[in-house]
Amino acid sequence: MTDESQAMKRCLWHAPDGRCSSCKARRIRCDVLHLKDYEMCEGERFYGQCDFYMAKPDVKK
Amino acid sequence: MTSERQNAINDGLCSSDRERMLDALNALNELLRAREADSSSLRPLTALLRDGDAEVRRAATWSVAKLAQNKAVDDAPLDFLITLLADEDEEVRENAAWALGELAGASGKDEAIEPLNVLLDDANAQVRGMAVWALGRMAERMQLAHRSSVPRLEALLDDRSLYVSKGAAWTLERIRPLDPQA
Repeated sequence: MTDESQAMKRCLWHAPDGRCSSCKARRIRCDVLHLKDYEMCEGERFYGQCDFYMAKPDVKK
Repeated sequence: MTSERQNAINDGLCSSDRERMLDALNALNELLRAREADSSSLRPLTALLRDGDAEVRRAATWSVAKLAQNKAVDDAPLDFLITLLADEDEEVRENAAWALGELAGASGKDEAIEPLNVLLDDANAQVRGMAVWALGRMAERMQLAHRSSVPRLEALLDDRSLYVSKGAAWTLERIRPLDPQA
């Protein structure tokens, strides 16, 4: 079984410690979605549902 | 008191050297995320809100919104932000709506409502969602609302984006009790 979201690149806002570093996303997740842990990213499985997802750009060589 | 680092950043924001100005915007971003910036950057940022480069307008609107979120704004550039709700760049429109929502309570204007209503039909879900949220914040914090927003928000209850549909319900909960007549 293939999960499409598994193939999505790491989100730019998904910090190594699991937090969401998008200030805009956190505001909406806190106020509108009433998420208790609005600072935490739900992880790669949820990238496809997140309007604030932004693929992390490749490091310039 | 403004830190030496922020004073240097403010000088950079005013620089005619593009590269130095862009570096200053990046440095300010870091300072704002650490909640270490005060309102002294607002004046140079306001000038950059009119820059011809969308990248600069994106960074400047983001910084104004973040200053507002950090409650470090004393004289908000409301008219510029309202104008930027119609910017050609979607991220600038989103950031302008975010800034107006963050400012609600401290400062706001009736004139922001119709341009925010227009953004409820924006092709970009992030823009729609942020406009929805800003309208809710203005209603909640300033009792600023127009009846014209209600049918548009009701239409968004079935939006394909979760942020937008949940946001529309959240904002309607705040606007309906006000029974706006206008």
